[in-house]
Amino acid sequence: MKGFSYYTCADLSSATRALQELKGAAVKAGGTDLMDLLKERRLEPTDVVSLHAVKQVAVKGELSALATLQDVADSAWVKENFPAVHTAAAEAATPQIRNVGTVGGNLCQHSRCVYFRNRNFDCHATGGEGCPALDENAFHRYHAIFRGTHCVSAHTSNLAPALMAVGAQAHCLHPDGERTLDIGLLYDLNPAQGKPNHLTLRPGELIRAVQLKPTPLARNSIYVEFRERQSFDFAVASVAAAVHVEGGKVRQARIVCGAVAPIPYRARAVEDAMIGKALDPAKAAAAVVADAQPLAGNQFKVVILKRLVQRALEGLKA
Amino acid sequence: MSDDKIRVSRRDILRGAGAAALVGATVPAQGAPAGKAPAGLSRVGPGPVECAFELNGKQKKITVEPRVTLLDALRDRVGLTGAKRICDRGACGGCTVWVDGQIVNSCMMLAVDARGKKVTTIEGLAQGDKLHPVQQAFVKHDALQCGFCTPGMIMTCAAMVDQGKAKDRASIQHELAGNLCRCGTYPHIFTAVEEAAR
Ligand SMILES: Cc1cc2nc3c(=O)[nH]c(=O)nc-3n(C[C@H](O)[C@H](O)[C@H](O)COP(=O)(O)OP(=O)(O)OC[C@H]3O[C@@H](n4cnc5c(N)ncnc54)[C@H](O)[C@@H]3O)c2cc1C
Ligand code: FES
Ligand code: FES
Repeated sequence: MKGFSYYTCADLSSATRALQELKGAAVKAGGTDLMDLLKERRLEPTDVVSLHAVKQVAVKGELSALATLQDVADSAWVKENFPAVHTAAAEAATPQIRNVGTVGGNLCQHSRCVYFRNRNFDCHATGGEGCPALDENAFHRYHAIFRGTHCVSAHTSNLAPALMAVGAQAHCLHPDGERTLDIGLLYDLNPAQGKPNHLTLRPGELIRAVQLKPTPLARNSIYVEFRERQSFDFAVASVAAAVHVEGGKVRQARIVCGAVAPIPYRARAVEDAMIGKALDPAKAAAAVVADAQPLAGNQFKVVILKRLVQRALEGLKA
Repeated sequence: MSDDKIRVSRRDILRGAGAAALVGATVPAQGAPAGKAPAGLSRVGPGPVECAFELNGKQKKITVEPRVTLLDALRDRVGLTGAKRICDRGACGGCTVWVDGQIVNSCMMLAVDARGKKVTTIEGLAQGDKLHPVQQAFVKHDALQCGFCTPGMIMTCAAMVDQGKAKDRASIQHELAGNLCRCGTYPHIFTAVEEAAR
């Protein structure tokens, strides 16, 4: 790890203002994603701004961006009203990482693409050209089956699909004020060259909190994932789904898939086609994977995703 | 060569380097002048910084650069080598310690972030000669083979027992998901935790 100046702050507004001065600074919340990137020297900032000391303000209806994954997993209110979010947090990473890793860091985590994580490779995200994972001999077992323009990495956040499925929003802070975005709008499928993440946040902009509204859709939500190890692992694929069914007909549906595209993949056309009909998990599952474009090494992910969508929808009250 | 000479370890050399870095602290750091920070922020580093925290019940002060992990500070500066540096990426649990009573991977935490906190390592778990019930149960049930994962295992298991999270085998497995054992001692560990939790 290269040396850096380390800044602490007591509140997010001073951090976001300071980040306008400290160009190129890295922001650290729990640090469980950032530390890897610093150790691998994929990022070599001269300044690191820590949000570690920011006091968590727990407001009813909001999850502080500095709340830990364990705080989310332990919340009875989240478990009752947003079951998908509860499971996504409780199943993420390890107990040690959940005690430290935050909601904001989980949403803003960098790609786990093995080529991006290795400083010996260059790609669109690091300011170069092309994508080493597209080489026919590349290791792309864990890469995307739905593609962006430049990048076939897979977005591995547990929370993002779950929060999107329950209709959560992010309150984002920048020096001119605050804006509120649907979680899905935090992500940019085709970021500019040299941008190491797929976020729409402006330089120095910070997520302050995630807004959660209990709704019939959110209460009937579920998160399922497939991973290769029982103990802990990043999901090979995950699905967060939610439906609001009335009189045997679907009134609202959300299907959001994780680890299958460079950003969380929302199957909007499939959701729309479900409206007004009886819930048909098998049909919806087949429709979600109809557009998949797997790479040579990850065709198995298409089958896994299809099964996960079906299993998720079968787990909801119809 | 005498035994003493052979026993000069990599850590002793690193501790020596720490002392050298301390001397070096008087040399002005590159980048922004020391202490200058944008409004509302305070700044330390990139040179060595004093970190005061409670370590195993006693006040401790060490001087390390902000980039040093808590694990490296404990092992190479303090000389407590119970916590193991195995993956150094948060993925094995060998470096597990308690910070304010919660298990964390000390390899994924900066030592500067321990300032003002209570850190407990495997060396601080027993009360004098009295072992923690989990340590006792590990001895009784032969819950280790090579022993490399054991300090981390015990810190995780002791926390889950103390916090009442070791309810049944499934919950023990869930709470132990972040600790890997290459020797595959899991069945004995589960039995030991079950007994300690009773
Ligand atoms: C062994 C291991 C296993 C893991 N398993 C999983 C898993 O199963 N599922 C999963 O989803 N993740 C997993 N992770 C990834 C990650 O560590 C966690 O998701 C964690 O929640 C990240 O939070 P953090 O606070 O530690 O992030 P940090 O490392 O502090 O930050 C990550 C990024 O987010 C940015 N950021 C942080 N907070 C904010 C904010 N408030 N506003 C704007 N930007 C912000 C930072 O600048 C940084 O770029 C794993 C990590 C490890 C090491
Ligand atoms: S050494 Fe810290 S988790 Fe492996
Ligand atoms: S006892 Fe050898 S690694 Fe666990």
